Amino acid sequence: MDKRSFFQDLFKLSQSGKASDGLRRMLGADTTAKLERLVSEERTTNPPKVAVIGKAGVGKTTTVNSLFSAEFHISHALRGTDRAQLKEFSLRGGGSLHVVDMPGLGEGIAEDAIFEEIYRTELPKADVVLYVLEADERLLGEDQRIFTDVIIPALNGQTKRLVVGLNKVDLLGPGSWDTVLNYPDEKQEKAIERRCTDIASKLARQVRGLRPDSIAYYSAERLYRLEDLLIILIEAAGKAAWKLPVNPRPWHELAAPEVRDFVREWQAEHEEV
Amino acid sequence: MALTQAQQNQIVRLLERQSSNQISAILRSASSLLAWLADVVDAASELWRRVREAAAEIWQSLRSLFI
Repeated sequence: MDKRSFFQDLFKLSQSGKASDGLRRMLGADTTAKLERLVSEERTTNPPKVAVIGKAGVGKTTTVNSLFSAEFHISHALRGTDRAQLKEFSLRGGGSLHVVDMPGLGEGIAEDAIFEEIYRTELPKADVVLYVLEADERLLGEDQRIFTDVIIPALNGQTKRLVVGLNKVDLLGPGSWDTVLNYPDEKQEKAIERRCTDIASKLARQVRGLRPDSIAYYSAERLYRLEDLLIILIEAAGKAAWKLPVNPRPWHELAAPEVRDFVREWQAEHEEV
Repeated sequence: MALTQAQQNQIVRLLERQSSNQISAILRSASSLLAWLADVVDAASELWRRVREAAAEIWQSLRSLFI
């Protein structure tokens, strides 16, 4: 078995809990059965847990839906506030995903104290923490304070697990969104890259413990650069990353019908993964 | 409406980028499973080592009772 198919087989095992024929031949029936049981049990007893933080309207729910293509199952309120919830999603390959959906701070002093307490309790338990912001530098001041005073201390030095997502980049200009391709035109793509690199370096400079390579920019609504965000989340989740679903909705899902036809033909010719 | 050559080229570039990102995600995900399994194996080996040590101590105690 070559290295590439070995890794692909491991990946399939991690996502579905079922070993491929290649792995079975390599390990033998008994060991394969034990491995399948181990992986499935870990998925069931310890589902992946992603904490998603962000103010109302930044696109937390759209991000989770577009990124993980998971089906919402049930939610539980955390510590008596409806605005912070543990949401359970069912995954296509079986198992579940737990998302701790937490509001941002700065919307009301009385509620902030409750949310800060929830951050302190919930963040250390999450495999990865995604802080969603709108990609607009005018809004950064408040968030910098929240990172420094609340989020980074709540992570107890585990800042590697923190990912910052700059969402709604499709609203940045100059340039415009190409609705046929469902992609920014060249001018807008350059503007997005420039503005987001600026925001990321400013944030990383001003918030101690935040690395520029843990900041991703994307648009959850337009399905733009979701794979880039996912890769950063996988890196951040460390040894729990294999439990995360790796099937973000592709950008061409929202493109014009003639683009989708072209993509289907191209993928049929180049089917590999 | 038919796609222009420039549009087709751009779509191919985007699909190639998407495919390379997908491979990157798969490799990272598989590596993380290996790292987790290595931890499980380490923990099991450590447990097995302690069980053997405890068994040896019990055996020594029993031997000293009878010999």
